Amino acid sequence: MMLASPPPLGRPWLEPFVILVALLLPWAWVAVLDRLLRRIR
Amino acid sequence: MGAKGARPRIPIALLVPIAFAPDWIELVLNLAGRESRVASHSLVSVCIGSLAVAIVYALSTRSVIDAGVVGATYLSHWGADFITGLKPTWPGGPNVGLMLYSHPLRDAMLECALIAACWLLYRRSLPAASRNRILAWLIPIGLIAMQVTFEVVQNPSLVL
Repeated sequence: MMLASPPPLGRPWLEPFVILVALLLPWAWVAVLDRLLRRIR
Repeated sequence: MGAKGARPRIPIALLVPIAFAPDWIELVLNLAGRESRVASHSLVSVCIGSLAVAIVYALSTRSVIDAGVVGATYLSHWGADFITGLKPTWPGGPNVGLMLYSHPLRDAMLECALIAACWLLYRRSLPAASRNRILAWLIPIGLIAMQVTFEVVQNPSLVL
């Protein structure tokens, strides 16, 4: 899962936002699906 | 995901941000205007952070083994970064790494293979009724799609 820190983009002002998305998206994806999968009986 | 497979009691919603803790620290420092790769990503800072989360987890759950896995999850970030990029070691020390980011295709293939391997470990922690559901398969499929998307955004020459 996005195993390591993303490489620099070369656009410093954009990097915090890209990093934020790269951090939040896999977190939300895995956490929500995991929760759903553990509720199935 | 590998840690969740090994110790199913640890919430994955906790393991994911811990695996990315150095990036969260870097982001907060950047937004505060105090960028420091040594503070967020050096071997020393990752060891300290790893120990800190392990101690907090041990104190709050009384499970030393789970705490060790939580600490190792934090520590794994440095190992992954060592393979993909160049990371600081200690204040004033050298930056070390294999810099796989300079070979985006190889990097993407390795990261996707690791997602698949970790998902196979993680899958063992799921109830038997859930393991073959499409929802379970959506985890690696979504993560690989994100991985490929980020690779393409960062290296448009891969598809052009």
